[in-house]
Amino acid sequence: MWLHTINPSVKLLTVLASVFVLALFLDPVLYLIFWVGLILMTFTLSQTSWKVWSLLTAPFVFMAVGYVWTAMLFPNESLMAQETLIFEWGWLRLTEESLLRSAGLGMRVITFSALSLLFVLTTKPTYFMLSLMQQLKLPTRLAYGIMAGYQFLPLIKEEFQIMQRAQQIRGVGRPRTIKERVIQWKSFIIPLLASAIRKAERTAIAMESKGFTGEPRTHWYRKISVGQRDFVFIGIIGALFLLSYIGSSFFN
Amino acid sequence: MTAKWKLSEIIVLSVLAVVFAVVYLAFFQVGNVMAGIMGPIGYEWIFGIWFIVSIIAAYILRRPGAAFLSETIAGTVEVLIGNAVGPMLIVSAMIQGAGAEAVFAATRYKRWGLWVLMLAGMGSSVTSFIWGYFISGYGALDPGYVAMMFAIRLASGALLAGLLGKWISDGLYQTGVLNSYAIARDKKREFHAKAS
Amino acid sequence: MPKRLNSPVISFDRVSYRHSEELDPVVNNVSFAIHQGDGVLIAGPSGAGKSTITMLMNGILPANGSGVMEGSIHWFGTPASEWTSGAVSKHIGMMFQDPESQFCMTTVEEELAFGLENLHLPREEMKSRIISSLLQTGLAGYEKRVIQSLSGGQKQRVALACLLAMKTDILLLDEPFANIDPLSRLELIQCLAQLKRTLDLTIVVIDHDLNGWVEWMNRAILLDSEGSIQVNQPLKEALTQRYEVFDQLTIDLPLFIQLQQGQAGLTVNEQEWRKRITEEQVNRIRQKQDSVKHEISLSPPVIEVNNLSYSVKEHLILRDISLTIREGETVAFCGHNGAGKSTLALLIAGLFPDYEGTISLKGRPVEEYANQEIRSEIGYVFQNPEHQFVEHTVVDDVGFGLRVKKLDADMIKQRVQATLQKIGLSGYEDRHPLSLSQGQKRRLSVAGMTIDDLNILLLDEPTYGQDAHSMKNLVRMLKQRQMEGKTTLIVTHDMELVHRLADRTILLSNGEIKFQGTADAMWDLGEVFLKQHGLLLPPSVRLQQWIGGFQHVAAHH
Repeated sequence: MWLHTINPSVKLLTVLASVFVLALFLDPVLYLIFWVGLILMTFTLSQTSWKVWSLLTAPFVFMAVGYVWTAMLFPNESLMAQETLIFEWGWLRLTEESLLRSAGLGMRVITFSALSLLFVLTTKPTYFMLSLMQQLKLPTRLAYGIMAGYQFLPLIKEEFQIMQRAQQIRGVGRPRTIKERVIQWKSFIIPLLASAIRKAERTAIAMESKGFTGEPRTHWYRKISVGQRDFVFIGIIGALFLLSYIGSSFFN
Repeated sequence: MTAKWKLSEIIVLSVLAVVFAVVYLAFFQVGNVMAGIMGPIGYEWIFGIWFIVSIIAAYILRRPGAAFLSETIAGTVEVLIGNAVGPMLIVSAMIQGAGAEAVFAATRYKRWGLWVLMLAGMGSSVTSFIWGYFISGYGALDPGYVAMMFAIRLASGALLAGLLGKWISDGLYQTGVLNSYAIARDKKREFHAKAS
Repeated sequence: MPKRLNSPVISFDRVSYRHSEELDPVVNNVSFAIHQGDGVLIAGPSGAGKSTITMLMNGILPANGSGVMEGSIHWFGTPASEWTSGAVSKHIGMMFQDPESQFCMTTVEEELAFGLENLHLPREEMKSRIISSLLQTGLAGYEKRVIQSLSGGQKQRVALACLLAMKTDILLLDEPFANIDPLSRLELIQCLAQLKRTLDLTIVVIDHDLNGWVEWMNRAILLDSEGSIQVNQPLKEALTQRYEVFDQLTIDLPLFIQLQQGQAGLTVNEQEWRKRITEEQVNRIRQKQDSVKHEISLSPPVIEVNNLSYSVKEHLILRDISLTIREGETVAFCGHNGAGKSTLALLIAGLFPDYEGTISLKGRPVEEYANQEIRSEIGYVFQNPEHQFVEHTVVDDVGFGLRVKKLDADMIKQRVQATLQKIGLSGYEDRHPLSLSQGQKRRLSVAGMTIDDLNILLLDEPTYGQDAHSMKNLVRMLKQRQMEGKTTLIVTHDMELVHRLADRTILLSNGEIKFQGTADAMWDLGEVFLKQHGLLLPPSVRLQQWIGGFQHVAAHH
């Protein structure tokens, strides 16, 4: 459960910084080592279930495959002039470097998703918002406004289900053309939005009636702090990057 | 940015973002299927849908920051729900929102016609594409192919965000729930101007 | 803090409020004063500006609205203008009608803490206040529960706990129980009455149903539909001297008060009244009993359910349900929240295909019907009318069912016009259904379902969030169906509606049928039995039973 106790803002900024740094490279080996490290971290330092993790990763693998073959079929030719040709068939040309770039693009998608899951699966929404207010000084009106909207999520889902049933009962058929689909979509989205807006107004009144003005808080019921372990976390990610960098240079 | 906003406007902004965060996630699945078949260009056709909340929120509230914040909150909510694009989505959302915001700012938040909304959608297309170029490494792809991706994204931004966004907001206006927001104030003024 | 002793806690002096310059005022030249320890009831028909008054009372309006206020408001003797923004909310707590939309945090504990953080209290103080307020509202142990997973009644308890934790001097309750079941309502009112006694709270309540309140509130303010005050005097005095005003403004009074109409020594205490009940009152209660008599129908069955079980994600919702509905019957499905009533209704309407057992409609299994076919047999009116509008104008929506049937356009037009006329919505043709008032929405949603003359109509909690006037309309419509020999199924926990309409009731509890038979037979099982399943006796029946018992005892002596 260690990853759960890391300060959400620290975790957020570390993940974002890693993405920026990693985007400067296009090296499949570097990504691979970093990725393996992330997986080890995810499963040793938190109780993430394999099932959930794989399920959430699957679409990105799919996406990565798309990137790989696009990069192979439509490579940037100007980069390929000096490179070692390994395969040619009709207009399709593959060089060793272009193959690596393609693999890099694919691996990058997968690595970014693992990095994201490290954050998403180990961060409680409420703590995340509290931390944004306490560490990153997000205005309280905005933060609690977002929290209030977020509470509607289950209600919106429930309303959507009820509306689906209601439409079925009223004899709304399955849309066949794109036009019908768009029109049906509109007949869902407008009542959903209308009801959400009314609820939002009522919630705003309720929050104000509890004396909420948006002035800064003097005491927090739940204090989210930054401690030693947060620096350890940054250290681990930094070390992992160095390891990946050195490892990949050996390979090259 | 929100110091002058009413709390109800902030929460309305936030629920719009929540509803569209769910829509965005649904389209993310659609996009994935298309991208799996067509490669990254599969996303481009529907990319505009991911800017729609900035258009709708700005068009309804007509306040500086509405486009940028709504998109950012939608991104944040997607992360809270547990999307694996994760924290990066917040950054992408901010960049997308900034594109639309820039167009509205250029009109000094005074013009809300269809063309402005479509331009705002295209504004998001531009900023998001520049960001994508860096983060997804489009540099490794054929420039002609990349140009085509960009063209499709521009069209998608104009239509799926600008046009569709206006259509939905106007439909929502008919229900009467927007009567206490800037959109109603302006529409009433237009109505009186026409009548006199 | 600008608080003065001995002055009224809230006073209004000739206050008017309009939502915008060009509109008529919703609150019209209103003056009144509320003192420390008062229990004030504010009542009036819908549109009387009750909610606006509450929001003016705790300073949400005019500050956060776009409207215009005239006159002056004082809190604790200090004019509203001298209070800083948000400061007065810390003294006047509010509880709202919609249990769904008054929270901004995920768990009970976090929500309570939100209010306490607004008061800038130290952490230890917050902790102890959270614990004690949860104890006071019967929510001990609920700290970590997710608010949105609680029932409506529990959510309202959380809202109350928030106010108690904040130790506001005044509680303002804006129709807090309009959307929750009667048993939870009663329990919450009892909880409030006790809190008022022990904590010397000042309570202001808006409600159009005075059952449960009259015994312990001391003042009544009645508003008419123009937003003007009609009555502002001690409650008992108002009931004795101005009874007709309560009647005119369609305010629901407890039955024992109704029976004392015009009586000089009126009492607001039911127990006391029972001690000195008059012969004439006893007779009137008896007559009420005689007016409802239902006969068991022997017409052919239209719906037959046998050994039906249904589960969602391995969670059993309905277990071994068998029942028969005969043609022309009005049958009520009742039971607590989550008993499975609505699911059963949806199954009968053919919405969920994966069930065990059999459901047949006119002798044919329901799953054999094509979607279109079943729609021309069964109509379904949802709890919240907003969920079932499919078109963007009133005229299109009401005619939708006819267009699906591909009827002739002229014919559709005629029937739509006639229907709109009947439900009082002519002239609203081009409005968006969602822009109508609550009562209009309900009428439109029913009309959309009944326009193609369906033989079977299912209604899910049709009285939810409706005022007395729309209730009357609804009952009239359902009685009409009864006379025409059509079948109606009502899912409800409104026992008065069951009592007035249902030929038969089916009581569900935790997914099982606990009782089937006439409503009268169910009442005979007594209030203790009903309470176990989250229900209450209708007030008239409770009195009748008491008189029965009382006569019984009297005969023995």
